[in-house]
Amino acid sequence: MSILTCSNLTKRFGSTTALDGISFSIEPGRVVGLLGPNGSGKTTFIKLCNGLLTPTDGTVKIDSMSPGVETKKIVSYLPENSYFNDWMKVQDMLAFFSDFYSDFDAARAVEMLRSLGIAPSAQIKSLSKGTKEKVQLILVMARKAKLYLLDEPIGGVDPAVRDYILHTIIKNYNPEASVIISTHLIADVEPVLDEVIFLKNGQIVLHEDVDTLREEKNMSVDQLFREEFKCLEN
Amino acid sequence: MLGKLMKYEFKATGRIFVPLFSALLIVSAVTRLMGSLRSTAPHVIGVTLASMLIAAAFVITLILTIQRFYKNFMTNEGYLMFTLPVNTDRLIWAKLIVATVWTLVCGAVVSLSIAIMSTSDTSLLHIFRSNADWSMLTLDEGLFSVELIAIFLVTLLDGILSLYACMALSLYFNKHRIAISFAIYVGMIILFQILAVIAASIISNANISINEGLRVFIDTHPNGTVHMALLLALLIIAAVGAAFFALTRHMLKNKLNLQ
Amino acid sequence: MAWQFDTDRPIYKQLKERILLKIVSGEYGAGTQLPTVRELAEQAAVNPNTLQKALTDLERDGLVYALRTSGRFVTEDKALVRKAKDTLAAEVIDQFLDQMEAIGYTADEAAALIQHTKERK
Repeated sequence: MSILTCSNLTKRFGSTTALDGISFSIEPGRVVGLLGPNGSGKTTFIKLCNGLLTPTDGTVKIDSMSPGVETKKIVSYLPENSYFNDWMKVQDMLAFFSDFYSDFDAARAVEMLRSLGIAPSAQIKSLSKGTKEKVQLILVMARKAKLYLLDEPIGGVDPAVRDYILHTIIKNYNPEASVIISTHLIADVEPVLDEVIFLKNGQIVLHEDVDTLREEKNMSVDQLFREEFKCLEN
Repeated sequence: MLGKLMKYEFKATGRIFVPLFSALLIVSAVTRLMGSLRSTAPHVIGVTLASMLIAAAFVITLILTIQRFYKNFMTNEGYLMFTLPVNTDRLIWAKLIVATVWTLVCGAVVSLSIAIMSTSDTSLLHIFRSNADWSMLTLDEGLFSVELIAIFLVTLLDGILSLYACMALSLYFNKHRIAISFAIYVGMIILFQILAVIAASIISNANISINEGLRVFIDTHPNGTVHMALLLALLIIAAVGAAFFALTRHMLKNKLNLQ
Repeated sequence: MAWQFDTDRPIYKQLKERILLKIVSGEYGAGTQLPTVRELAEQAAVNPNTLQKALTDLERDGLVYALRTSGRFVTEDKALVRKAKDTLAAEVIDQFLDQMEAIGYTADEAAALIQHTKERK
């Protein structure tokens, strides 16, 4: 049974159509790259999966359920922006996640923090931007969720952190869970992906396995992406 | 889940209220001491300071009530709150209950502070001792008290919910939400004034023909009539509150678009 | 350190080649147990499914076998490993000769150059 299925999923904001009737499914145990230029609908799609937006038309189902309290229990979301308040310490956030998510592995989170040299007693607002992003990632990945939605997880971080993030995604791999990585930095992420979905103007232009694409086109997904979207650079 | 949400809400707000209210009580106590010691200047300073703290207490309570809702639901923190596996209703209730509690605490602390400062040494004890003997209350008086307290509480809830609803309505717009919330609030107040005037003129102009049975009832059960009126008022106020709540929930669930 | 890959060929094929190299060179000795899919995927910094595909291919070729509960092992069939080694060497030589031809040397000239270089070492 698919972990995510969307059917004719459409989202309009006033006169703008952000997603135009997209349909696809994702099986468990897959790492999927959601690729596309800015404004192609990637973030809108992720927000629809989270229940942060409601569809204008069509449906999206996580584990056969519409986004709601039950899906939020099994979906772990890393947004592009930092969502921390300014009064908590890192350990307060750990307690918060433990309180609300029954699948949160606090021991694992502590271990990841330690390996990155982040003190649990640190005030979150005193951390650098990069460190905050690491903490947010750790909180998200320390959950044993069925679907991980990562919105631009590696943009704006240094290469060492980027490696750590990709390493964590691989290490966390679970044949019953899937990961959707929305990014425009394809080259770094490509070896970690099973399949890619290209979004352009709210529509799917490609949905294929990475290795099949490489076999057919004799180029990396990154190169293919540049070709596909180079006209949009103007 | 509601308990957990409230726990964090208290943690977030307590960091400000506890020091504030403690400071007010301490200043009041010290001021009173200065008063008993007949040292005029420190006493005056104390009273001034206490007055400022009292004003601050009310202002901060209002601001924090607004800020907690706005910051936690309508800025980046919303990414965290609205992806929690909890109902939107619970999220709203947690904020509402905690805001109500702090408002009541604020009122109690301010009253206590004034009581501490304005009574002479012996009269403070008199206040506590001379309180009405509760067992002597009649059923009617007891009921009236309960009804009035209930009306007071529900009106307080309504007040807070009206703030929430105005902020939630500003979600229809993408920019300048704070200013728009304020404008909507002002508009709402004006609307309610107009409705009140219309209602009053309808009632005073209408020829209310009360049927005989009702007239007899009113004459023979004066207390009962007042009870019914109070309950009716309670119902209306609660309905208004429910409307605000539903509006807030609808906006947060369907019109939220975090940037 | 993540393994580096060519961008224009499927990753699973490249993974297969890398592991094959480790087998024929003796880094993964005959009969020894391979790291788990998860460990290898972490080392190589690739998707575990892709790695699985590479290992399945090697299983099909007989160079690797799987025991249900214990994991994957390199074959004990030394002759098979030898054969794979020779095949790999032949491919490298073919490539080399093609490159030399592009430079302008015949196979015999290339052989002579090899000898010459070997003596200089």
